[in-house]
Amino acid sequence: MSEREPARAEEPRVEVSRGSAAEFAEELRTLAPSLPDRINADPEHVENGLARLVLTVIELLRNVLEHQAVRRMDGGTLTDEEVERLGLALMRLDERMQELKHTFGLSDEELTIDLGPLGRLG
Amino acid sequence: MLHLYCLTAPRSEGVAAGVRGLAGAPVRVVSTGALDAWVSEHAEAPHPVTVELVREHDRVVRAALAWEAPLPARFGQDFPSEGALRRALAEREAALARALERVRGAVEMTVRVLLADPAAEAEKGAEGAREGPSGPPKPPAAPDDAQVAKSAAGREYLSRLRERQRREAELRHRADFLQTRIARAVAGIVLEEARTPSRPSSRSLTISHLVARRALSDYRRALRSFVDGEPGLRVLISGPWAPYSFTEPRRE
Repeated sequence: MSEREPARAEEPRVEVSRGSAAEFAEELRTLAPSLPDRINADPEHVENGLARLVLTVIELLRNVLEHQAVRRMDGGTLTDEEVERLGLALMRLDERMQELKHTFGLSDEELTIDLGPLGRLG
Repeated sequence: MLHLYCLTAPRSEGVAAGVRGLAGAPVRVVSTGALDAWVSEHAEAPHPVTVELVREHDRVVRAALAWEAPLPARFGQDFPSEGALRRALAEREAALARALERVRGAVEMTVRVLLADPAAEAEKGAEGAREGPSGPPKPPAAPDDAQVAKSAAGREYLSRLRERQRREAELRHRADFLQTRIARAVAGIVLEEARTPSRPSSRSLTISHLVARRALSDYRRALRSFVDGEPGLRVLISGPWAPYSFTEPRRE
Protein backbone atom coordinates (compact mmCIF):
# COMPACT_ATOMS: atom_id res chain seq x y z
CA MET A 1 0.00 0.00 0.00
CA SER A 2 2.82 2.36 0.74
CA GLU A 3 3.75 2.59 -2.95
CA ARG A 4 0.32 3.96 -3.91
CA GLU A 5 0.08 7.54 -5.02
CA PRO A 6 -1.08 9.85 -2.27
CA ALA A 7 -4.81 10.42 -2.42
CA ARG A 8 -5.90 13.65 -4.04
CA ALA A 9 -9.60 14.28 -3.74
CA GLU A 10 -10.64 16.13 -6.85
CA GLU A 11 -14.26 17.18 -6.99
CA PRO A 12 -16.05 16.27 -10.22
CA ARG A 13 -16.23 19.11 -12.71
CA VAL A 14 -18.47 19.65 -15.69
CA GLU A 15 -17.25 21.49 -18.77
CA VAL A 16 -19.62 22.28 -21.62
CA SER A 17 -18.73 23.54 -25.07
CA ARG A 18 -19.76 27.12 -25.75
CA GLY A 19 -23.49 27.74 -26.23
CA SER A 20 -24.71 24.21 -25.52
CA ALA A 21 -25.44 24.25 -21.76
CA ALA A 22 -29.21 24.67 -22.14
CA GLU A 23 -29.41 21.84 -24.65
CA PHE A 24 -27.51 19.49 -22.35
CA ALA A 25 -29.69 20.46 -19.41
CA GLU A 26 -32.77 19.54 -21.43
CA GLU A 27 -31.24 16.27 -22.61
CA LEU A 28 -30.31 15.26 -19.06
CA ARG A 29 -33.80 16.10 -17.81
CA THR A 30 -35.25 13.60 -20.27
CA LEU A 31 -32.87 10.96 -18.95
CA ALA A 32 -34.00 11.21 -15.33
CA PRO A 33 -36.72 8.54 -15.69
CA SER A 34 -34.12 6.04 -16.90
CA LEU A 35 -32.41 5.84 -13.53
CA PRO A 36 -31.49 2.17 -13.04
CA ASP A 37 -34.45 0.38 -11.53
CA ARG A 38 -35.40 -3.11 -10.57
CA ILE A 39 -38.54 -5.00 -9.73
CA ASN A 40 -39.53 -4.00 -6.23
CA ALA A 41 -40.90 -6.74 -4.00
CA ASP A 42 -43.42 -4.33 -2.52
CA PRO A 43 -46.84 -5.69 -3.65
CA GLU A 44 -47.91 -2.23 -4.76
CA HIS A 45 -44.99 -2.05 -7.17
CA VAL A 46 -44.97 -5.61 -8.45
CA GLU A 47 -47.70 -4.96 -11.00
CA ASN A 48 -45.82 -2.00 -12.43
CA GLY A 49 -42.54 -3.94 -12.54
CA LEU A 50 -44.13 -6.82 -14.38
CA ALA A 51 -45.92 -4.48 -16.76
CA ARG A 52 -42.60 -2.86 -17.57
CA LEU A 53 -41.02 -6.23 -18.24
CA VAL A 54 -43.86 -7.41 -20.48
CA LEU A 55 -44.12 -4.11 -22.34
CA THR A 56 -40.37 -4.08 -22.91
CA VAL A 57 -40.58 -7.44 -24.64
CA ILE A 58 -43.59 -6.33 -26.70
CA GLU A 59 -41.75 -3.15 -27.65
CA LEU A 60 -38.79 -5.20 -28.82
CA LEU A 61 -41.01 -7.43 -30.96
CA ARG A 62 -42.83 -4.40 -32.31
CA ASN A 63 -39.55 -2.86 -33.44
CA VAL A 64 -38.57 -6.07 -35.19
CA LEU A 65 -41.95 -6.19 -36.94
CA GLU A 66 -41.63 -2.57 -38.01
CA HIS A 67 -38.23 -3.14 -39.57
CA GLN A 68 -39.50 -6.19 -41.36
CA ALA A 69 -42.57 -4.36 -42.61
CA VAL A 70 -40.54 -1.51 -44.09
CA ARG A 71 -38.20 -4.01 -45.73
CA ARG A 72 -41.13 -5.85 -47.30
CA MET A 73 -42.73 -2.62 -48.50
CA ASP A 74 -39.45 -1.48 -50.07
CA GLY A 75 -38.94 -4.94 -51.54
CA GLY A 76 -42.05 -4.46 -53.66
CA THR A 77 -43.53 -7.86 -52.82
CA LEU A 78 -46.71 -6.49 -51.25
CA THR A 79 -49.84 -5.24 -52.99
CA ASP A 80 -51.12 -1.75 -52.18
CA GLU A 81 -53.84 -3.22 -50.02
CA GLU A 82 -51.36 -5.40 -48.12
CA VAL A 83 -49.13 -2.39 -47.49
CA GLU A 84 -52.11 -0.45 -46.20
CA ARG A 85 -53.27 -3.26 -43.92
CA LEU A 86 -49.79 -3.84 -42.55
CA GLY A 87 -49.31 -0.14 -41.91
CA LEU A 88 -52.67 0.19 -40.17
CA ALA A 89 -51.98 -2.85 -38.00
CA LEU A 90 -48.61 -1.47 -36.88
CA MET A 91 -50.07 1.97 -36.36
CA ARG A 92 -52.74 0.52 -34.06
CA LEU A 93 -50.16 -1.52 -32.20
CA ASP A 94 -48.20 1.70 -31.68
CA GLU A 95 -51.30 3.50 -30.43
CA ARG A 96 -52.16 0.63 -28.10
CA MET A 97 -48.61 0.70 -26.72
CA GLN A 98 -48.85 4.45 -26.09
CA GLU A 99 -52.06 3.78 -24.20
CA LEU A 100 -50.50 1.03 -22.06
CA LYS A 101 -47.41 3.12 -21.34
CA HIS A 102 -49.66 5.94 -20.21
CA THR A 103 -51.69 3.56 -18.02
CA PHE A 104 -48.61 2.24 -16.24
CA GLY A 105 -46.77 5.57 -16.18
CA LEU A 106 -43.84 4.24 -18.23
CA SER A 107 -41.66 6.27 -20.58
CA ASP A 108 -40.03 5.12 -23.82
CA GLU A 109 -36.68 5.31 -22.06
CA GLU A 110 -37.84 2.71 -19.53
CA LEU A 111 -38.89 0.20 -22.17
CA THR A 112 -35.46 -0.75 -23.38
CA ILE A 113 -33.28 -3.79 -23.07
CA ASP A 114 -29.65 -3.06 -22.41
CA LEU A 115 -27.49 -5.52 -24.28
CA GLY A 116 -24.27 -3.97 -22.99
CA PRO A 117 -21.71 -3.57 -25.75
CA LEU A 118 -24.32 -4.48 -28.37
CA GLY A 119 -26.41 -1.45 -27.53
CA ARG A 120 -29.98 -1.00 -26.39
CA LEU A 121 -33.08 -2.34 -27.97
CA GLY A 122 -36.38 -0.60 -27.77
CA MET B 1 -28.92 -6.18 6.52
CA LEU B 2 -25.67 -4.85 5.04
CA HIS B 3 -25.70 -2.35 2.17
CA LEU B 4 -22.58 -2.61 0.02
CA TYR B 5 -21.09 0.59 -1.41
CA CYS B 6 -17.82 -0.48 -2.93
CA LEU B 7 -14.75 -2.66 -2.70
CA THR B 8 -11.34 -1.19 -2.10
CA ALA B 9 -7.77 -2.28 -1.57
CA PRO B 10 -7.06 -3.55 1.96
CA ARG B 11 -6.35 -1.39 4.99
CA SER B 12 -8.93 1.28 4.22
CA GLU B 13 -10.42 1.39 7.74
CA GLY B 14 -8.85 4.75 8.50
CA VAL B 15 -10.34 6.25 5.32
CA ALA B 16 -13.82 4.86 5.98
CA ALA B 17 -13.88 6.02 9.58
CA GLY B 18 -16.35 8.86 9.98
CA VAL B 19 -17.98 8.39 6.57
CA ARG B 20 -21.78 8.29 6.69
CA GLY B 21 -23.88 6.26 4.29
CA LEU B 22 -27.58 5.77 3.55
CA ALA B 23 -29.81 7.45 6.10
CA GLY B 24 -26.72 8.70 7.92
CA ALA B 25 -25.63 5.18 8.93
CA PRO B 26 -21.92 4.87 9.74
CA VAL B 27 -19.84 3.13 7.10
CA ARG B 28 -17.62 0.30 8.27
CA VAL B 29 -15.19 -2.04 6.57
CA VAL B 30 -15.52 -5.81 6.18
CA SER B 31 -12.08 -7.05 5.20
CA THR B 32 -11.26 -10.34 3.54
CA GLY B 33 -7.54 -9.69 3.65
CA ALA B 34 -7.28 -9.12 -0.09
CA LEU B 35 -10.25 -6.75 -0.32
CA ASP B 36 -12.13 -4.30 1.85
CA ALA B 37 -15.90 -4.00 1.48
CA TRP B 38 -17.46 -0.70 2.57
CA VAL B 39 -20.87 -1.33 4.10
CA SER B 40 -23.45 0.11 6.44
CA GLU B 41 -26.00 -1.74 8.55
CA HIS B 42 -29.73 -1.24 8.18
CA ALA B 43 -32.73 -2.76 9.84
CA GLU B 44 -34.72 -2.70 6.62
CA ALA B 45 -33.82 -3.43 3.03
CA PRO B 46 -34.03 -3.17 0.13
CA HIS B 47 -33.84 0.57 -0.11
CA PRO B 48 -36.06 2.14 -2.75
CA VAL B 49 -34.24 3.43 -5.79
CA THR B 50 -34.44 7.18 -5.49
CA VAL B 51 -32.17 9.92 -6.75
CA GLU B 52 -31.43 11.00 -3.17
CA LEU B 53 -30.39 7.54 -2.00
CA VAL B 54 -28.31 6.88 -5.10
CA ARG B 55 -26.52 10.16 -4.43
CA GLU B 56 -25.88 9.13 -0.83
CA HIS B 57 -24.51 5.83 -2.10
CA ASP B 58 -22.27 7.65 -4.56
CA ARG B 59 -21.06 10.03 -1.86
CA VAL B 60 -19.59 7.05 0.02
CA VAL B 61 -18.02 5.71 -3.16
CA ARG B 62 -16.48 9.13 -3.75
CA ALA B 63 -15.03 9.14 -0.25
CA ALA B 64 -13.25 5.92 -1.18
CA LEU B 65 -12.19 7.38 -4.51
CA ALA B 66 -10.51 10.26 -2.71
CA TRP B 67 -8.11 7.64 -1.34
CA GLU B 68 -7.88 5.15 -4.19
CA ALA B 69 -10.08 3.96 -7.04
CA PRO B 70 -12.69 1.57 -5.65
CA LEU B 71 -14.89 -0.93 -7.44
CA PRO B 72 -18.30 0.73 -7.00
CA ALA B 73 -21.16 -1.62 -6.19
CA ARG B 74 -24.43 -1.20 -8.04
CA PHE B 75 -27.03 0.40 -5.85
CA GLY B 76 -29.14 -2.27 -4.18
CA GLN B 77 -26.52 -4.90 -3.40
CA ASP B 78 -27.65 -5.86 0.09
CA PHE B 79 -26.60 -8.88 2.13
CA PRO B 80 -28.52 -10.43 5.01
CA SER B 81 -25.40 -10.85 7.16
CA GLU B 82 -21.66 -10.29 7.23
CA GLY B 83 -21.22 -14.03 6.68
CA ALA B 84 -23.27 -13.86 3.46
CA LEU B 85 -21.18 -10.95 2.22
CA ARG B 86 -17.93 -12.75 3.05
CA ARG B 87 -19.11 -15.85 1.22
CA ALA B 88 -20.06 -13.80 -1.86
CA LEU B 89 -16.68 -12.07 -1.87
CA ALA B 90 -14.78 -15.32 -1.32
CA GLU B 91 -16.41 -16.87 -4.39
CA ARG B 92 -15.03 -14.14 -6.66
CA GLU B 93 -12.07 -12.86 -4.72
CA ALA B 94 -9.44 -13.45 -7.41
CA ALA B 95 -11.58 -11.85 -10.15
CA LEU B 96 -12.46 -8.90 -7.91
CA ALA B 97 -8.81 -8.36 -6.98
CA ARG B 98 -7.96 -8.30 -10.71
CA ALA B 99 -10.78 -5.84 -11.35
CA LEU B 100 -9.50 -3.62 -8.57
CA GLU B 101 -6.00 -3.73 -9.97
CA ARG B 102 -7.40 -2.72 -13.36
CA VAL B 103 -8.74 0.61 -12.04
CA ARG B 104 -5.92 1.27 -9.60
CA GLY B 105 -4.69 4.85 -9.73
CA ALA B 106 -7.37 5.77 -12.26
CA VAL B 107 -10.66 7.64 -12.44
CA GLU B 108 -13.54 7.69 -14.89
CA MET B 109 -14.17 10.68 -17.13
CA THR B 110 -17.31 11.03 -19.20
CA VAL B 111 -17.69 12.67 -22.59
CA ARG B 112 -21.20 13.34 -23.79
CA VAL B 113 -21.85 14.62 -27.29
CA LEU B 114 -25.16 15.85 -28.67
CA LEU B 115 -25.50 14.84 -32.28
CA ALA B 116 -27.09 17.20 -34.77
CA ASP B 117 -30.41 15.87 -36.03
CA PRO B 118 -32.59 18.51 -37.68
CA ALA B 119 -34.90 15.87 -39.20
CA ALA B 120 -35.88 14.65 -35.75
CA GLU B 121 -37.06 18.10 -34.76
CA ALA B 122 -39.34 18.28 -37.79
CA GLU B 123 -40.86 14.87 -37.08
CA LYS B 124 -41.25 15.64 -33.39
CA GLY B 125 -43.54 18.49 -34.30
CA ALA B 126 -45.57 16.28 -36.61
CA GLU B 127 -45.90 13.51 -34.01
CA GLY B 128 -46.92 16.01 -31.34
CA ALA B 129 -49.80 17.10 -33.52
CA ARG B 130 -50.83 13.47 -34.12
CA GLU B 131 -50.80 12.45 -30.45
CA GLY B 132 -52.60 15.47 -29.10
CA PRO B 133 -51.76 17.60 -26.07
CA SER B 134 -52.58 15.16 -23.27
CA GLY B 135 -53.74 11.67 -22.39
CA PRO B 136 -53.42 8.46 -24.34
CA PRO B 137 -54.69 8.24 -27.89
CA LYS B 138 -58.10 6.74 -28.29
CA PRO B 139 -58.06 3.21 -29.74
CA PRO B 140 -59.39 3.31 -33.29
CA ALA B 141 -62.19 1.08 -34.45
CA ALA B 142 -61.23 -2.00 -36.47
CA PRO B 143 -61.17 -1.19 -40.19
CA ASP B 144 -63.49 -2.86 -42.63
CA ASP B 145 -62.39 -3.70 -46.18
CA ALA B 146 -63.86 -0.57 -47.71
CA GLN B 147 -62.08 1.58 -45.18
CA VAL B 148 -58.75 -0.11 -45.93
CA ALA B 149 -59.18 0.42 -49.65
CA LYS B 150 -59.85 4.16 -49.26
CA SER B 151 -57.32 4.88 -46.57
CA ALA B 152 -53.70 5.77 -47.08
CA ALA B 153 -52.93 6.08 -43.37
CA GLY B 154 -51.24 2.67 -43.20
CA ARG B 155 -48.88 3.43 -46.08
CA GLU B 156 -48.14 6.85 -44.62
CA TYR B 157 -47.37 5.25 -41.29
CA LEU B 158 -44.92 2.83 -42.91
CA SER B 159 -43.32 5.72 -44.81
CA ARG B 160 -42.82 7.57 -41.52
CA LEU B 161 -41.30 4.42 -40.05
CA ARG B 162 -38.92 4.20 -42.97
CA GLU B 163 -37.80 7.79 -42.42
CA ARG B 164 -37.31 7.15 -38.72
CA GLN B 165 -35.25 4.05 -39.39
CA ARG B 166 -33.09 5.98 -41.88
CA ARG B 167 -32.58 8.73 -39.35
CA GLU B 168 -31.59 6.25 -36.65
CA ALA B 169 -29.10 4.60 -38.98
CA GLU B 170 -27.63 8.02 -39.76
CA LEU B 171 -27.40 8.84 -36.04
CA ARG B 172 -25.58 5.55 -35.42
CA HIS B 173 -23.18 6.35 -38.23
CA ARG B 174 -22.47 9.83 -36.86
CA ALA B 175 -21.99 8.48 -33.34
CA ASP B 176 -19.54 5.80 -34.52
CA PHE B 177 -17.61 8.35 -36.55
CA LEU B 178 -17.34 10.77 -33.62
CA GLN B 179 -16.35 8.02 -31.23
CA THR B 180 -13.44 7.12 -33.50
CA ARG B 181 -12.30 10.73 -33.72
CA ILE B 182 -12.52 11.28 -29.97
CA ALA B 183 -10.58 8.06 -29.42
CA ARG B 184 -7.85 9.42 -31.71
CA ALA B 185 -7.80 12.72 -29.81
CA VAL B 186 -7.10 11.01 -26.48
CA ALA B 187 -5.08 8.07 -27.78
CA GLY B 188 -2.14 7.30 -25.54
CA ILE B 189 -3.75 9.15 -22.62
CA VAL B 190 -6.73 6.97 -21.73
CA LEU B 191 -6.31 3.48 -20.37
CA GLU B 192 -9.69 2.18 -21.56
CA GLU B 193 -12.87 3.33 -23.24
CA ALA B 194 -16.49 2.26 -22.78
CA ARG B 195 -19.50 3.51 -24.73
CA THR B 196 -22.81 3.73 -22.95
CA PRO B 197 -25.53 2.00 -24.96
CA SER B 198 -28.29 4.35 -26.00
CA ARG B 199 -31.69 4.09 -27.63
CA PRO B 200 -31.58 3.94 -31.44
CA SER B 201 -33.28 7.35 -31.63
CA SER B 202 -30.98 8.95 -29.08
CA ARG B 203 -29.13 12.04 -30.21
CA SER B 204 -26.47 11.66 -27.58
CA LEU B 205 -23.25 9.73 -27.55
CA THR B 206 -21.77 8.95 -24.14
CA ILE B 207 -18.26 7.65 -23.80
CA SER B 208 -16.48 6.85 -20.55
CA HIS B 209 -12.72 6.91 -20.32
CA LEU B 210 -10.56 5.30 -17.68
CA VAL B 211 -7.77 7.79 -17.07
CA ALA B 212 -4.82 7.67 -14.72
CA ARG B 213 -5.13 10.43 -12.14
CA ARG B 214 -1.76 11.80 -13.08
CA ALA B 215 -2.87 12.08 -16.73
CA LEU B 216 -6.04 14.08 -16.04
CA SER B 217 -4.56 17.43 -17.10
CA ASP B 218 -3.28 15.96 -20.36
CA TYR B 219 -6.66 14.35 -20.93
CA ARG B 220 -8.57 17.59 -20.45
CA ARG B 221 -6.12 19.48 -22.61
CA ALA B 222 -6.43 16.95 -25.43
CA LEU B 223 -10.22 17.03 -25.34
CA ARG B 224 -10.37 20.83 -25.19
CA SER B 225 -8.11 20.99 -28.19
CA PHE B 226 -10.37 18.56 -30.04
CA VAL B 227 -13.52 20.53 -29.15
CA ASP B 228 -11.90 23.86 -30.12
CA GLY B 229 -11.18 22.41 -33.53
CA GLU B 230 -14.83 21.48 -34.02
CA PRO B 231 -16.93 24.63 -33.88
CA GLY B 232 -20.57 23.80 -33.29
CA LEU B 233 -19.88 20.45 -31.66
CA ARG B 234 -21.91 20.18 -28.46
CA VAL B 235 -19.79 18.41 -25.88
CA LEU B 236 -20.03 17.93 -22.13
CA ILE B 237 -17.03 16.60 -20.24
CA SER B 238 -17.48 15.56 -16.63
CA GLY B 239 -15.51 13.89 -13.89
CA PRO B 240 -13.50 12.57 -12.25
CA TRP B 241 -15.94 9.85 -11.16
CA ALA B 242 -15.49 6.47 -9.56
CA PRO B 243 -14.94 3.89 -12.32
CA TYR B 244 -18.56 2.71 -12.53
CA SER B 245 -18.18 1.78 -16.21
CA PHE B 246 -15.09 -0.34 -15.71
CA THR B 247 -16.09 -2.87 -13.10
CA GLU B 248 -17.26 -5.64 -15.42
CA PRO B 249 -14.71 -8.22 -16.58
CA ARG B 250 -12.81 -6.93 -19.54
CA ARG B 251 -13.66 -8.43 -22.92
CA GLU B 252 -10.53 -9.83 -24.54
